[in-house]
Amino acid sequence: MSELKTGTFSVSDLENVQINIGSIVGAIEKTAAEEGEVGPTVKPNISGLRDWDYKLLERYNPVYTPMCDQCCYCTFGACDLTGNKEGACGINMEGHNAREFMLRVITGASAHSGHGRHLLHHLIDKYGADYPLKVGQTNIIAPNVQIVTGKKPETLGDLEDALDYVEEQLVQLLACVHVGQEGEAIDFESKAMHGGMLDHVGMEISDIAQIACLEMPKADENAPLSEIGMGTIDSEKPVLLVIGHNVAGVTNIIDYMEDHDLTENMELCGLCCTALDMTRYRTEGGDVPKAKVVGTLAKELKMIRSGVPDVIVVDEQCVRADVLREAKELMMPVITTNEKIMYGLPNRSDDDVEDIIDDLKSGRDDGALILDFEKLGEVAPRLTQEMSKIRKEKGVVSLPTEEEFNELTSRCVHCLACELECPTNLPISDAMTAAEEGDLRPFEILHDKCVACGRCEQACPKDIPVLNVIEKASQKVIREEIGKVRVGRGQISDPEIREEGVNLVMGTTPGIIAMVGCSNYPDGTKDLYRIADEMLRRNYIVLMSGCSAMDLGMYQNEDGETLYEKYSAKFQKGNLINVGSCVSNSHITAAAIKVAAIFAQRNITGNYEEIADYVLNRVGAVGVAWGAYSQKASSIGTGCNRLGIPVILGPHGSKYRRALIGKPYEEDKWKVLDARNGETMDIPAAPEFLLTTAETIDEMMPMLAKNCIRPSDNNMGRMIKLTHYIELSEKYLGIIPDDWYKFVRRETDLPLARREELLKKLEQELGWEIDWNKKKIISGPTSKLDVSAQPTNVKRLCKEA
Amino acid sequence: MVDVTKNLKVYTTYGPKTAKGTKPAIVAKMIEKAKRPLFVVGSEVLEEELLARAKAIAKKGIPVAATGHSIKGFIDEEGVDAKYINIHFLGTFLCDPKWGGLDDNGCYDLIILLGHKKYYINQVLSGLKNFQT
Repeated sequence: MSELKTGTFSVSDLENVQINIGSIVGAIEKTAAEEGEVGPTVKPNISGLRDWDYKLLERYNPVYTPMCDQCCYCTFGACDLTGNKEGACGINMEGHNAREFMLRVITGASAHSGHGRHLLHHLIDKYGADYPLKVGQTNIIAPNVQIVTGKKPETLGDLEDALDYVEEQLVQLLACVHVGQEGEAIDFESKAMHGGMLDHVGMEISDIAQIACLEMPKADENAPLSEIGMGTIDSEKPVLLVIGHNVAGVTNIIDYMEDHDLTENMELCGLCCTALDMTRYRTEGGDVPKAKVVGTLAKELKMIRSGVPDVIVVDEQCVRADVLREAKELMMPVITTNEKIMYGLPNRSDDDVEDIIDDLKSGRDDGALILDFEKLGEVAPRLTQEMSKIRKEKGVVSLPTEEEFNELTSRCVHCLACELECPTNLPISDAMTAAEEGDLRPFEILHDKCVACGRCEQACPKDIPVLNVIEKASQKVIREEIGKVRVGRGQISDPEIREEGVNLVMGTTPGIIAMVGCSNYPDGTKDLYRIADEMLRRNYIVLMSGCSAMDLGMYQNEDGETLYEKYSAKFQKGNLINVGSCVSNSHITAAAIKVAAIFAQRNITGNYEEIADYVLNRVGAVGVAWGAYSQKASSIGTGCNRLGIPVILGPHGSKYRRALIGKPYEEDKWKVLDARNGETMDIPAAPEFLLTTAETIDEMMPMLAKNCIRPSDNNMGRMIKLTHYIELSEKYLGIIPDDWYKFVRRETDLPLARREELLKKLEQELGWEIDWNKKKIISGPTSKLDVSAQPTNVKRLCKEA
Repeated sequence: MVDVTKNLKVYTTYGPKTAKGTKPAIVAKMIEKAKRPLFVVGSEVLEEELLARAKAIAKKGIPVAATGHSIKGFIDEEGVDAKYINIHFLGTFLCDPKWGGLDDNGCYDLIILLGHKKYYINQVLSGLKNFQT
């Protein structure tokens, strides 16, 4: 009996009939079995990786810092849960906050996966389900999909099965939020981890689908550079601004502009990840990006208020809710292109292009919903040209004149309501005073730190448009906002992993610093430059994505170079890589998975726990989400956590309500097993958290180095990592860290240049025995160096098990 | 003298149970009565005038938990017992009676905070308010 296989066939004698066989029951498992090992958790359900989560949560304590102390989820309440009291349904504060955190994680995961589903529909419709997934030099096309679902996708259509799984699991997780479901915090935590893991699958599906179909760079270390910054936009030309994260519709705009020779005549620019993905579109092989990047979400209101855009197109995620209201004030028509954001606009998807343009340029409608991308591709650029003329003729201006500016600053009564409302408590009042005296510098500083949320304006009793005042005062610095960002290169290739994997596991490459997330920084955008600059000089591999990738490109060194221009984008120690947009974050976890697969020859198929255990104990990587603000940032971070990658957030990140922090003083928690024989090994407390916050960049610097330390470090690797930890602590805190000795297993772990000095400290301050003739440690260390040891937290992986 | 504690709006805690403003003399009494007080200073204490006041308080014999990078302001300062700790970690450990404190002499019964970002310290205080034992 012949077996049915996936693919397409036609029925002879019948015209126009083509039958597609998508997925066949049991086919994945059969194929996987034929190809070799399959791990124990193919498509794990909610409880599938619970044991692994519990292992993590036993060491890394969930720490709750509630926002409002009440639960208002159902009509039993509102319930006051202060002091960990129980509410009417029986849930206590811990449980409720764990649930709140999980809800944020699955919201973020849903945003990425919903994005992925939309893209996949669109791309399958356009390119066909059999379109091959070419993502660069790799045999592991989709590491996150493979490790979780056990499937090795090769075509666009293959991704549907993995996305079906993600969607089904997200529904199950959302069901747990309902009243009377889960009651224990620890299981909400495990569910949050599940949601985070799903997020990386959803992101990976989104990104590899667009990389394959939209001719984006494919694991390309020579991806081109793109212009970035408000200062790069030529406001004399018609300006079309796109905002959001889903580039699908924008590709039609770019195609139309090229087909009609409009590229040189108008500006196409973007905010947030759509901007990053526009620059990736058709740049495979090094072609010039076809659009400019304005910047992050923090620039949305600033860009609109500048009055420069003539038309705005929005798609999905991280788009301000008031774009239409703001744009209307300045005669900018808004086109929404995705069902997730429709702003109450009429659906013009089936209408004639000429009618749509007429209605928008005449002002009869403030905007339009256009879900037909062919139509969008024509309407948006044509309308932009029309609106440019109309807006110039009408003399539409947004920012105050000099006289108005003077009047506004003198109107301020310095009540400080704006400062209390400001999420970062910026010193607006002092800047008003300085501006009155003719000094605009304080406002220029605020311009960089201000995330343009507009809450100050809502608070002002004198109706001062504070943001407009800041932007008017900062025109000089805005004109100078011109930078370069590396176009997102996508995955890390297999040859790169093969070359660098050993250095990462042994520690001779001190670590990976992955800077991800949004732009809600405590102290302005330059923080990112400081972090990357310091860690790159120290030979860490710095990975960037999303809004962080954009902001890093805004600063030049003393030679006028951005870090993207200074450092290569090869995955190698001391290099700087932009993987791409938000959904490209999956390539960061994918790189860690590939280290286990390629360097260590571990089976990754449906084998999540073993690989996460490998990453936790051997791959020195730390995520930094310094300006994390969105729910997506929480899901990205939580996905990293389940895979054993710790993440540091900026101080605003404390508002996620939950951290995962270890207690170094609980010595029994800092042990692993040696997989060779099942014996227990003591390890130092690193990583000492899975998710925490830092107060300042200066504080975070040594935290980065310390938390790249792993039990698998060889003596050279540990020496390098310990050197950086001590040096960064001395440089940024002014002290030698008080736990430095806990990372010393033998004298060769000590920084080479300071070995004698540190041996003396060990002897004099800690009572360790030193053989001074041989300059060797005789006794003292709590952990031992054994380069052959196989550290693991999973007993079944031990030979004795 | 105007009593500024009346109608004071406190921005560092939210919820049904919030922080209250009180007079310096009462705070002084609370510190005096405490058996194991801890002076927790954040990075914003590094401003010159504030730092001088923080040092003066620390020299009264209260150990200092220097969070963020504030430890830089207390290095080699005679009469000041300051140690670095991350504030999120500190908030966690303070809820744990098993924690030995910065000096291994046990947990603390009173903390005095100075020099933190409002929105950040709010979260730390929220954790303490709800989960301290």
